[in-house]
Amino acid sequence: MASSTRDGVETVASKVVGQSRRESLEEFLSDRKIMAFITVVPATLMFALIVAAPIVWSVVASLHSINALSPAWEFVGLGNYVELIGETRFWESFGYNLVWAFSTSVLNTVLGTAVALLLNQNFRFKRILTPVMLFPYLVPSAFFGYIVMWITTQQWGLLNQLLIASGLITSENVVAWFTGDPWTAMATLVGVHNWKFSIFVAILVYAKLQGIPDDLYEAAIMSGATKYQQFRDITLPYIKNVLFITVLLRGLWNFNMFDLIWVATNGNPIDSLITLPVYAYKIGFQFQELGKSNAVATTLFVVLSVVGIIYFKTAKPSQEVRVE
Amino acid sequence: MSTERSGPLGLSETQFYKLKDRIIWAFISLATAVAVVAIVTPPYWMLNSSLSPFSLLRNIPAQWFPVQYTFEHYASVLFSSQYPRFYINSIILSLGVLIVVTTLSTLAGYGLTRFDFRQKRNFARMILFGYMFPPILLSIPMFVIWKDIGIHNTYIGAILAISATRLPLCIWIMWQFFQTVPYSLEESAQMAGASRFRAFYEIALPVSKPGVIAVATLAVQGGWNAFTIPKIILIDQKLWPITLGLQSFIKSSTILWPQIMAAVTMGMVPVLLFLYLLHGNWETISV
Repeated sequence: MASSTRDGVETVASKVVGQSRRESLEEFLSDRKIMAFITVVPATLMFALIVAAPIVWSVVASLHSINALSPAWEFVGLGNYVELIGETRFWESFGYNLVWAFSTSVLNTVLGTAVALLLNQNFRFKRILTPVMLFPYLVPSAFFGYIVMWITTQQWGLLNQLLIASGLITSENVVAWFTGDPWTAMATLVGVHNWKFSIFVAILVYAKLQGIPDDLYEAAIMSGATKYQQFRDITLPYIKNVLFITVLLRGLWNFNMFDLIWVATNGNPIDSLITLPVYAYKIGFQFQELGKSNAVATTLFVVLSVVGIIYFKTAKPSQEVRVE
Repeated sequence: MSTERSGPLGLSETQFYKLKDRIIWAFISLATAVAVVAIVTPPYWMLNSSLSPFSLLRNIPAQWFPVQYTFEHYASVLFSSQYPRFYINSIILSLGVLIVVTTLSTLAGYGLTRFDFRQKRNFARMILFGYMFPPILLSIPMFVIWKDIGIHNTYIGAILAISATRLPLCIWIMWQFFQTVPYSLEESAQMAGASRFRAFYEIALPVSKPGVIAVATLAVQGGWNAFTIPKIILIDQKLWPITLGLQSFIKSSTILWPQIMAAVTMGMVPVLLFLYLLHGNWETISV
């Protein structure tokens, strides 16, 4: 790396000597202020357009009654919110959503940490197994959703077939994973969710584990610490922060999950899986009430902000950048 | 010290620790095996279902291992469905996101590292806050805005919207990355007479190649994965990416399972490429 860079410096130098007056444009671009401007402003503007504007719009739109099919906006003030608060469906969704977010994020973190700890061991075939074990993170949720849908098919699905083969159920009373009992449906999706999303946690924790200096463990072994003591006194303190962050981030994203729920249930989730994002989609794009849908989105944003504040107050992630 | 001390279970201490090591080793191997089986089973089943003749899929008990292969489902997906169109759409969206996100995040990452601004810390907070935004939250109001300015149901609209879900993460990664690139390299180029801009794209940029590759991969992967945003923004079936297009294999009377599995399998090919590009630097992407 170093030598190639030095070559680079020399090439640049030689080129510049030859063509010192070549581009006045380049000179212009190199002005400190201009360069600061052209590097940072485009991203900031884009950020404002595609991240900040939708939030403002969401709040504004939530105060109107908007039919998706006609352009007219009718101001209704807090009407949409009043309507939502009066709906049992809304509160049910909220409740189910909390159960879903909590159980998935805790399970994701536990299983993900386990996978990370395994990856951190020195075993044979590690070079092959590491990419295999990290692969699910990159699989599109929608693809995974279709696989889940196929595996949970009542008659020929892999899950029921495995249960039949192991003698736990008979082929007459197969389990209706997503169409029967609401809590079965929830538990099924919470379970399969881990296939992809535990790996997210595993990647973060694994990266952190690799940063723990080996001599800490060596010193611990020298002084006779057991594996458990090593884990408790070295590993855990090192990964404590990242565990907290993953619970928080996964909790938030799982709370707002739409794609996997929608696809795995074939766009027809039973009550326990109609979480707030699914509810917002249904209101907005099946019942064409965009104003009310935006009111749900704004509610989600409030939840997001609360989690965000906790995140910034406790984890202080912005300290990671140098500010001179 | 010639006699060995005795440990528990009537074994000598050395034997005891050897046994303990073996047990721990066995436990780790077992756990690893369980994890690998759990991870490999769904993709295996996908592949198996896509290659088995339809009649075998309905066997009870299931055909765990393929006894008979057929490529008819792949042929029917490729030659008598809209799948190729969806595939091209996915590629267009991914490349669009690649261009938008990689360019903006690389420039921003450089600028944020090298130049002083007021409110830099708050800017960092804003980016991380943006990183937390889930697609569903952005796409509902986006649909309203995009409709007003006339870019809903277009590639551009979808590309911009999907970029929103990746841009904050990628700016953050590049910002972190450029902090590891010493400014002295650029300074020496400038001493040799290079302009600051030249020093950026001929020195800083090549050195930060691993970061750029990670960011580019994440951008493409974001485009390839997108479901919620295109679902809301793209109404016209001709514009759908694969993730949405798979729905066209669900007919009112029947679900074409082997075709769906063949389509998903082909959609996984780029995912393997992402895995290859990212597997060396998981640290980079774990923000």
